[in-house]
Amino acid sequence: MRGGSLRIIALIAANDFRLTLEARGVIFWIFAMPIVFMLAFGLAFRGESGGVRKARLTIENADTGFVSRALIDELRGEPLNVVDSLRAGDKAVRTLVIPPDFTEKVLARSKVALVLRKESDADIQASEAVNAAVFRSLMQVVSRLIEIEADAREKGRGGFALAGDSVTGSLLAASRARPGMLDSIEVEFDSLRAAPPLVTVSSSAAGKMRKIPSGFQSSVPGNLVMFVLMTMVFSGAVITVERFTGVLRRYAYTPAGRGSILLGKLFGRMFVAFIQIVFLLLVGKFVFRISLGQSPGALIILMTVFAFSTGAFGVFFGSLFRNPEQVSAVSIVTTLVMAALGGCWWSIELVPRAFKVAAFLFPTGWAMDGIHKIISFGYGMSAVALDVAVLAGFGVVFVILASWKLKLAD
Amino acid sequence: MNAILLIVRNDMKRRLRSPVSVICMFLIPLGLTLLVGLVFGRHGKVELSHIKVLVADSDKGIAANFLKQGMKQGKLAELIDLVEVDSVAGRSLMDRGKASALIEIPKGFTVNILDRKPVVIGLVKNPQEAFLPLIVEEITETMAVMIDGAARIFEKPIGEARGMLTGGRWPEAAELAGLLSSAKPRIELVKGYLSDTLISITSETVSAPDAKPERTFNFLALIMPGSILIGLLFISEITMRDILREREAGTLARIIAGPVRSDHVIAGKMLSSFAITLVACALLIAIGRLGFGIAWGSPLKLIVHVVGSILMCVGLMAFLYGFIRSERVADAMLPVVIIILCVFGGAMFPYEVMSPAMQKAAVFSPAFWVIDGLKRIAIEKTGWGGIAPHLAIVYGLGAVTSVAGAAKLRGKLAGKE
Repeated sequence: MRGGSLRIIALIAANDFRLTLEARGVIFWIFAMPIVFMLAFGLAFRGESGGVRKARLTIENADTGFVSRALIDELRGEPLNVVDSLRAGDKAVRTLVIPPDFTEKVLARSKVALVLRKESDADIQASEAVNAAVFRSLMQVVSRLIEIEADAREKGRGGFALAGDSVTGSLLAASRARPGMLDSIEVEFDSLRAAPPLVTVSSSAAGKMRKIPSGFQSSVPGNLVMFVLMTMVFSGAVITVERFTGVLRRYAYTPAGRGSILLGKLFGRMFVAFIQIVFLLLVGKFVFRISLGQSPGALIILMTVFAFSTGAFGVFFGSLFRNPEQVSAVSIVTTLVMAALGGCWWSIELVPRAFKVAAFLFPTGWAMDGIHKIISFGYGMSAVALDVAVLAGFGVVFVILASWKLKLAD
Repeated sequence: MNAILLIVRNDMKRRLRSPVSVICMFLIPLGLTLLVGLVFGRHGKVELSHIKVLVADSDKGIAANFLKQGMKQGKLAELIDLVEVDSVAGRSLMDRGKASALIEIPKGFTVNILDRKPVVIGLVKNPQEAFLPLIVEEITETMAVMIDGAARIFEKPIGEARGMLTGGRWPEAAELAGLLSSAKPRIELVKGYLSDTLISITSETVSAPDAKPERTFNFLALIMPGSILIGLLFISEITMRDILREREAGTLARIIAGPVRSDHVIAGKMLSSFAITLVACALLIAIGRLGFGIAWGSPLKLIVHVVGSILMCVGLMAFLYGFIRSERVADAMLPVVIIILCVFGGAMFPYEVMSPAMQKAAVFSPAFWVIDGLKRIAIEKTGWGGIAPHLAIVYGLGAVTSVAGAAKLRGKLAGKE
């Protein structure tokens, strides 16, 4: 490309950049709306994905024995918000009802039922977490009782015996037979509980980061990608408007070729997108306090190439339509589809397999994949090389298609 | 009156000749609902199955086997796809985000448990995923508790077995019989406590006193009211914009120069905006019923609520246009106002999934009263009492903004601004 063409491209780009920034509406959409969305989505889903908001469990304990107390102590060790009594106006979302004779029945090895009551509008995921926690706590209490009972039997205490396929006698019978036995069972139980667990689980995150994204950490990248997409696709629609209003035809009287016009328009908008990307990343970092990973440079490069691919797509779209209203309609629907299916709206792990594959048909899917590698895994440029290459490939293909279809006048 | 109807008829005809912008706004709620429906289905349930979990077993002992087999039993077999890998390959796959989690069973896991030494199961989670690794973590922790409990209960028999196994010889039959005999009471106790469900957990679901009985639930009925409101606000915005556009083009000045009063023009424009939005809303509700299978509940309540909601949308737009001087400003301001009302009113994501603070803020957005009213009619099949506050707010706000907006626009058309 000759120096003259480069100069023309730069002039067109500079002019488009200036015109874009002069439009107050565009400024709102580019800089203000993404922040509103990041804030709203971040607040709405804060804690849900990262487990910051603990499931609440109210306990209704009608039992006075030590087994129910032990069960509650175990539950307190779980990642739950265990509530003993409700304050006025509080709603019991989930309640564990412990019957009055719980300790006696457990020690007697008689059947006893705990009731886990939940409101019909209780969050299903949180309720599942509560179910698992109650099960685990119960397992721990029961295993200690079995230990105590087995020891008691082996030491010949309380008339325990093995009769056929069952053990006769019980801790309750033993405690009734010997005064003070119940206290010694409780002491033994507490000493078993004090012993450190033999098997534990140590969780960590893959990659170089050590944090699972949630709240703003999750809402900022998705909205960043969506709003850069909107900036670029809608700026492509301007091509149709300029052809419709005759602005493009005037270029025909200048030395600018079709390719120069197209690239000038594209680069002008890309510069706007670049400022948008840097601005929103800074907002993410300093306002929403999210981690940008260990390679912010790679993030900016990835997003700039994404702006190139979607900008080229927008220009191609703009070259296809004659009526500005048509291109506006198609642009809205296209951005919605690309943002949703690419994983900007919801976590892609939750969608059916076909949609996980479909995400990679769109530049948004590759951009989100790259962003996660940088922000969630903490990787650098080499990890997102494929994402960048594919996005650039999208862009080149769309530029070629756009230059083929673009007409300066109807 | 004739003049008003003439303006309405003329606007309707013009919209029919050039319907693209209205159709575009009409497509937004449909597109949103369709997308959510395609991804999550009518029931909105995230079908969690076949979570890919890698397991790197550097132990290969009985305890490790117990852990792995435990994850292949019953419902867990449907939920989890357990793939055995070596530790290096597992880490490499996780670093590329190829599975939800990696369970690392350390070398000496079984022996250490037999020797009553603490062991740690490693769990590497995929940071790209927010939900699935948490499920795997819950399951692994439950398995750890079970192994821990089993190791404690069978400590003595395990100790005896350990002595036999490390003795470098195969145990004699008598030794095995003795081992079984010493373990039997504990096995029976475990059986007694666990297999015979000595302690059962009964789950109950209760409803709040004012809640309605559960009905067959269509998830799209939770999504579409919000989507519809977005469409209605944008359609009333572009139809009310005619006032601004015709004022800028000088058309309104010519009309008012004739026998038509500015009051007639404003009433005609508001009425035509109302009619076009109502037609679009009726179509959206029909598509919701026929295309997405949403049972909208009582038709009368629906009509009363929808009419009030559209009155509110049109009134709100008339009020806002009363303060807006040019299309450029309208382009800049109105979509922002609409989106903010929608985001905080529960149109973008259901009120039910919002955090408590957001839920408290939502009631200050008029959008909330439209959406919540629609949901109450469609999902809860509520009575008039259930939507009375909603109706009061949408009709009240509609009336106030319509009157105030009309007054402001009249001043504008009279050239006071």
